[in-house]
Amino acid sequence: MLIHPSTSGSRVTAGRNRRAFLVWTMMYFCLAGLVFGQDSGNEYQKKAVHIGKLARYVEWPKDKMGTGIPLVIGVFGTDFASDQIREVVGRKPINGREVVVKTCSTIQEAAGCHMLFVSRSEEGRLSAILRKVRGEPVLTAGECDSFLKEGGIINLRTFGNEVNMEINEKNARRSDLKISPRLVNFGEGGVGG
Amino acid sequence: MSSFFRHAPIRSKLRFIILTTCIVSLLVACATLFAVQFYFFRKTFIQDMKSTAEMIAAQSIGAVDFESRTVGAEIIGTLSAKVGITGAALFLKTGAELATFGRMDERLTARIQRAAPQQWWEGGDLYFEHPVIRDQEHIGTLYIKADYREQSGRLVSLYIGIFCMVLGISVLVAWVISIRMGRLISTPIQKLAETARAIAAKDDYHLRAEQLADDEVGEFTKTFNFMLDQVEFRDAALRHEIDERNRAERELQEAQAQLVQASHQAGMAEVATGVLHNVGNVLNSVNVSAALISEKLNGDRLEKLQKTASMMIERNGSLADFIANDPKGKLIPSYLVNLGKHLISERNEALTELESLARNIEHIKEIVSMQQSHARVFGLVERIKPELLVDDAIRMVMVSLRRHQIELVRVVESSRPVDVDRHKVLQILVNLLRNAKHAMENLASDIRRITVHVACDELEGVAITVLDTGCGIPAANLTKIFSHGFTTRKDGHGFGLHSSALAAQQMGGSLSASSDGPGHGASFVLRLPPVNQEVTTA
Repeated sequence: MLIHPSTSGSRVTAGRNRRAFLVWTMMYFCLAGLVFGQDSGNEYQKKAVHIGKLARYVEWPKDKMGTGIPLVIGVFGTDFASDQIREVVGRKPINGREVVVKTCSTIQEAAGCHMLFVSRSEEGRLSAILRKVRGEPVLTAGECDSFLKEGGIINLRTFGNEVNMEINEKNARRSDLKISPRLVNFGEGGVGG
Repeated sequence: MSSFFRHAPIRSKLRFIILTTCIVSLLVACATLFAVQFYFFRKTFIQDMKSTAEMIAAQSIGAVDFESRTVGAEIIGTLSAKVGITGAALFLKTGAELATFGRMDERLTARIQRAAPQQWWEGGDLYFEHPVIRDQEHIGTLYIKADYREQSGRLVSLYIGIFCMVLGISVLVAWVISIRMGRLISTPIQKLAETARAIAAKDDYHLRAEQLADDEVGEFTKTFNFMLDQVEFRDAALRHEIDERNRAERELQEAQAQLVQASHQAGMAEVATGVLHNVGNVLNSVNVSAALISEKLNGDRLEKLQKTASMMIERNGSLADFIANDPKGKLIPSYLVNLGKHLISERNEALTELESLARNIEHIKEIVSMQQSHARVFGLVERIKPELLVDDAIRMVMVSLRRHQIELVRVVESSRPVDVDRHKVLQILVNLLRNAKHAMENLASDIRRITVHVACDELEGVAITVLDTGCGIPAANLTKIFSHGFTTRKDGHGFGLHSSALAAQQMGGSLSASSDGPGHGASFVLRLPPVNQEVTTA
């Protein structure tokens, strides 16, 4: 609700209106921030679930994924995203492997990860990150529009309340990764991911 | 139906049988084939749907796992291209609907917890439930609804169409075959029937049926022709036999005519014999009467009267003196008186004999006239008392009986008039009396006795019994004495009792004989019918 100041009212009345406007403006931003923060939490929670499930549909080269080696998931981006992924995925093993979630701040940290999540905030150095792991058996996941074009494998995009997944199998093969045929319907440009 | 079929031509029957067999065979074959087809269709349909459900469930693992409505809708949307599937739905394990296609039952969510594949029928719809399992974890459920009724209906329509087409073609082919094959079967039979009809119509056994094949009908035709040969042969033999018989019949007729002629002559002889016999019987009485009259007339009384008259003429003038004084003259008056008495007595006796003679002659006349009536007219039947007939008969034979010193006893116990031919009864009674007389010829005169007994009965009529004390009749002869020609006398001709029995029968009566054997006499009973009974006369 918007309250416009009167041009013919008394000064007392005008002051009250200004104070009420400020109160309502502050309340609006507080509520908006609360709602936005909640939406963002749900979004990354869902994407974390997807990242955890994706590990079950991907087969790494055996020399890179030996027995007893934990599954290392690197996260480029906000701590919030890392926390959500760690909260959802890091609690229980995947395919009998322990899950290690680490927050990456430098590109060099991408080495040694089995999975790599690049958040929207890292769109500026996305190319450099992907270039760093190109040809390596690293399952890359992102949320930028140009993620697959830049050489990413899985793009997690949000439409409304749903997280859709796109898979570039070609990039996956280039990284020597085998994507389960059960995910064939998530192919790039087809059904959207 | 059965009557129509029974009277239908063989060709129609054959056609009907072939077509019926064809249709029934097709019906059975198609029904069996369709039943098997339906069985396998249903089995295949279910298996196909099961495989589809299994495949779609496997494809849906990713969509369900990642809860992607878009991918889920895309996957089950592919089912719309599959014939028979009218609906599908993907549910998450939580019961939330992920994607749906077509109309699905809202109650499906109640079944979601089932982990094993299921299938069930609802109306004509077949439902499949298949769990979506990822790494042995039940993450969702796929439902597929297939319209079996529509599919089976299409199949039924298809099969009906095929059946009608096959049936039509088969009936057409069977019709053509039945026409061609029917001719092969029915033509020989028709030829046979036509030959039989021609033979029956023309009575011509020279005709033969044409043998068109060597099958059963051909064999039948051959046998039929063989039978015709035999019939023809027998017909010829029969005709020959008929000719022979006709000839024999003509000969027989000629012989019969000759025989009739001979019989007529024999009958005439028999009639003559009867007439002669009866007339002979009466002639005996006539002879006796004539002899008696002759005897009376042959006396010397007239000569003595003439001599007396001559003596009186010689004494003419002294006749009175002669009569008064001459010893011979004195005897003349008393002589004349006695002569007159004698003459009167002889005249009376002669008159009596003449009356008897006249009656006998009348009887002879009647005999002759009766024999004539045998040939032309019936005898005269008159109502008469039987004792009068007995008296006439006795009178006719009385003289003879006296001469033979036979005692005759007449007993009339009871009597009533009878309707008879008088002369036939007289012939019978005279015959019986004469036979009785002859039976006693060799007996002593003191035991010669004939008893004539007359009695009557309301039911049986009158019975006249002639009983004698003669020689009797042997038992063996009792059954033969009425036969023509049978006699025990040397001068007999065996006609009297035969004709008497016939006469009694003609009058509706009877004549019977009985005897206790030789030496014990015999009795003959003539029974005459009562008055009201129908009398047969001839």
